[in-house]
Amino acid sequence: MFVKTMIKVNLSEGDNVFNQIEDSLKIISEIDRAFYKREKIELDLSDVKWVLPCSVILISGKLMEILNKGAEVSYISPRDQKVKEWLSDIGFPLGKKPDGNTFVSIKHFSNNPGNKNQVNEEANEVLKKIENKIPNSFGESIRYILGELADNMDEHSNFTFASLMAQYYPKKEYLDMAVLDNGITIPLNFEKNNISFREDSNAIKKALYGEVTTKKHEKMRGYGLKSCRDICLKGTKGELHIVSRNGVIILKEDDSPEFYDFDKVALDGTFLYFRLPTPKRKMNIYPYLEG
Amino acid sequence: MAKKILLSERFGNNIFTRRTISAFFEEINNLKEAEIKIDFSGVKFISRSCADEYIKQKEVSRKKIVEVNMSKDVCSMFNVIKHQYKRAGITISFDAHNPHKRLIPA
Repeated sequence: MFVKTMIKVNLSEGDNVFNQIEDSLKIISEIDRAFYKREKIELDLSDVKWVLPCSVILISGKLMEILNKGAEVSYISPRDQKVKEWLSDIGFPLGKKPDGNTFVSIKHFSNNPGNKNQVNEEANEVLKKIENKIPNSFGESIRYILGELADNMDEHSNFTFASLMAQYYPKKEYLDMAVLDNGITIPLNFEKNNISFREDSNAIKKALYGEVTTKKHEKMRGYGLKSCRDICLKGTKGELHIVSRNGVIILKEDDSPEFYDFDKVALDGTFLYFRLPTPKRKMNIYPYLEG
Repeated sequence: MAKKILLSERFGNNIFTRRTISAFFEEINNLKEAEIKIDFSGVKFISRSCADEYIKQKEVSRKKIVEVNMSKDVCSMFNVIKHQYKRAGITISFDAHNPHKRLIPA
């Protein structure tokens, strides 16, 4: 007889991305523990009043992964009708819902090693959907960021699952874009390539600032994340959150970078979350690429 | 006689990943034609990573490869790479303004 575990989903209210990321990682840890004990999982979202795309992607990405390994999961919907409808509309947790006027619903895809063009194809599909929902003033910035993230995922992560969603908030005038892969993480990739670092957040920092590359035998590598950072922060005056294994980096244009390392939770993968305010004038990305 | 390949037909309007480019060059390096004309019509955007990979692959290819119909934005990305190589003191022969191309607005 299977044991059932109820996991209460508590997410901080408000727009603080880091708080929701931390809450989501706690929930993911509980999901993992229950899954490895071969327990049925019941996810209780009844008290959830506000969900950011970062939480949606982190939790649904984990659920997809364990569902594909045979897990049994059931849900209690949020009591808050607006939250319930939004989660349904964006396709939480399984994806496969049509996109809305202001959002690209959750996309999950599993790696097909036989198709070298797969990540390119998936990124093209997602981009087509995003570009119709955002103002033209973003210029090529979204295309560029999505492209570099897709390439990093393809080159470095050895992922088996990846997830993405995007939500444009017309009244708040920003785009939130979340990308998750369940690959080997930045810190582990560095360890495998004998690149030293202190804590996991230090490894993320080295990748983000282009200080090191795992492709040492090739010239001119290590620019991708750095240029995405510059476009996000300097170009749109936005925010960037990166979580990989135990490390977290939060970057905002006007603030000093924040580095954290979780003790009790970790992410088996890499998660990037961009919050990109709408540029007032059409953005030219090229000055941010010269690096 | 040059073999002409329309890139957008293979990879869509945007080319993002290095593996796409390296697999493409693996294919063209095995073609029997000595000259390959790569038509960039319809390619709106190439990522920085892809432009870099393209330049590297072309440098080591034995084929004579000519690019045509590059858009202004695609040329801009290749020029970014060229500047980065130049600043690093590395000479490359790739020219995004080759006389065979017509500039097409993105």
